[in-house]
Amino acid sequence: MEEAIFKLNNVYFSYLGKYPALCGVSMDILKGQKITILGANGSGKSTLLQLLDGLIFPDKGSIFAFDRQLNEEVLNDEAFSRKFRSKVGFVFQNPDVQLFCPTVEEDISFGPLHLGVNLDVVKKRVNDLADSLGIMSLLRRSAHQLSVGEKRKVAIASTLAVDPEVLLLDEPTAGLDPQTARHIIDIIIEANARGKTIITATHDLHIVEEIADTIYIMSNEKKIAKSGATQVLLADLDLLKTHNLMHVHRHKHKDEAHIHSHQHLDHHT
Amino acid sequence: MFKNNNFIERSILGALSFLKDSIFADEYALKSGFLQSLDPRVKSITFLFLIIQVLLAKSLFILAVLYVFCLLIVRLSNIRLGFFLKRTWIFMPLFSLFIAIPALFSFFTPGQALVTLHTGLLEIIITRQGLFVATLFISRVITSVSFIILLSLTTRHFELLRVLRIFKVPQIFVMTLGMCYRYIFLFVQVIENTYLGIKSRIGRGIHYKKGRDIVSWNIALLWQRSLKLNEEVYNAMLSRGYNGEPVLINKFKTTYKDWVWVCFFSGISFWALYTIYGRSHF
Repeated sequence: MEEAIFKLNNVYFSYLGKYPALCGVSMDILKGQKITILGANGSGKSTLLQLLDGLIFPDKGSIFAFDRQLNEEVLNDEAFSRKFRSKVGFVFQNPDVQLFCPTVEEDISFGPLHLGVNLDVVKKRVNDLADSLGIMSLLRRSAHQLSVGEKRKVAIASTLAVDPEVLLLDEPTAGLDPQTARHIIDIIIEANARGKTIITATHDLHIVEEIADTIYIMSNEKKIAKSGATQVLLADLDLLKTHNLMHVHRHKHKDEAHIHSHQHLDHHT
Repeated sequence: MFKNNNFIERSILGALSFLKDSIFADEYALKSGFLQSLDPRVKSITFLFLIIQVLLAKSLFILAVLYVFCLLIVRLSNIRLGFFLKRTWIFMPLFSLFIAIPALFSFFTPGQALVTLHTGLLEIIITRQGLFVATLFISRVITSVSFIILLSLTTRHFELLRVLRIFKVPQIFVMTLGMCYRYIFLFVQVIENTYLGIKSRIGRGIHYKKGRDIVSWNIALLWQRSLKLNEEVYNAMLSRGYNGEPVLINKFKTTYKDWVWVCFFSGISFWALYTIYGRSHF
């Protein structure tokens, strides 16, 4: 049987104790899985990722990561914290949050340096990642001088530099042009092919088929409405419509004036 | 946009433009030139000594030589002279003219009369000593401001911050300053977008009182955003292993150029010190 790296049991979380963000979420995440958490805005996807990264802790219920329950006390233990941070990497939704160092190079090296990786190894990782992501020319630049797409690539590089086993990605392709989005998807697929567990939160159905083999659909009640194989759930149009993940609209096809109500998962050509 | 009083609008645009200029100042630091190729530590320490010498100099000749020396290294560092002079002389009225002008007159600096102006009952005398004091003061200010601006133009700001480490400034302080510098630009963008958002919706003049309300409300919003960002950035740091002990890459490296510069700087310094004190002490 495959090893579960995360186990969530009936997790509740609320902001300031009065604004519920998750209401009874349970899930098991296996090593090497590609998981996508699908949900409309405000359904609790980002909160769930923050819980998985041990940045916030449940009000009720429990989260086990690598066979230890995640709570403030456990993460205050330096040895466990270092081990956990080395194993789990989080790409934040807003790259400006993640790129806090004066230069791109320092941002990429921040993680491994703080996790005690040898300086020569850090330098090699920075160069290898910059080369593979096509950001070598950005290394000496500051984050405020970069485009959104470049920032996103640097944010991913800064997480991959830690060489984590689990990659948490919050809306990795939001606001990107098609080519940059494609590049990001390729990076995610490649990371999974190298054995990394991928957990992505998104509401972009166009990318799900490629980056997930299992989907969890979050409902407006901040619960998991349904989970299962990607192909099966993406085929359930009523389910997607119910949870605001697709829409019905009128449009014109390219070659003919063809106006009708239409449901789709892909962009028009 | 703000009717009857465009002071707020001018202030916002002025501040944004100044901060953006600072961003573009990096362009000079990234050019290949003599000062750009030096180790920021060596450069900062030698410039600090040069400025101390400027402040100690009591001769206009020494100040003139140091100023010409400064302009020479401006050229060697691939900086347009016109741009540099504009940038340094613009600070003159701010730093010195308003202080130096009164020193010209006999009320503040008594001495040998050079020019006497008669304005009715009042007799205004410009003294030789006053003119010397004012010129010496202005020369000191312009030379030291020139060295400071030259240092900041040819060194990337985060490198200057990192140089603070050699003065034993704690790592956490240096890192926090670096982050402040980084996020100022994010907030500049936020302010600019907010300003454009307001402009696009208002589209015509509004009363200045309303304008004040809008600006103060936006200051409060910006404060809230900065608090939220603060929390998120801290989470992002924790997520990548930060545990309260900052670790930075020390990438400073001295080369033969630094030693050439140190020799050249020592020569100039020795000559200046000898001229200032030498005749009586050496």
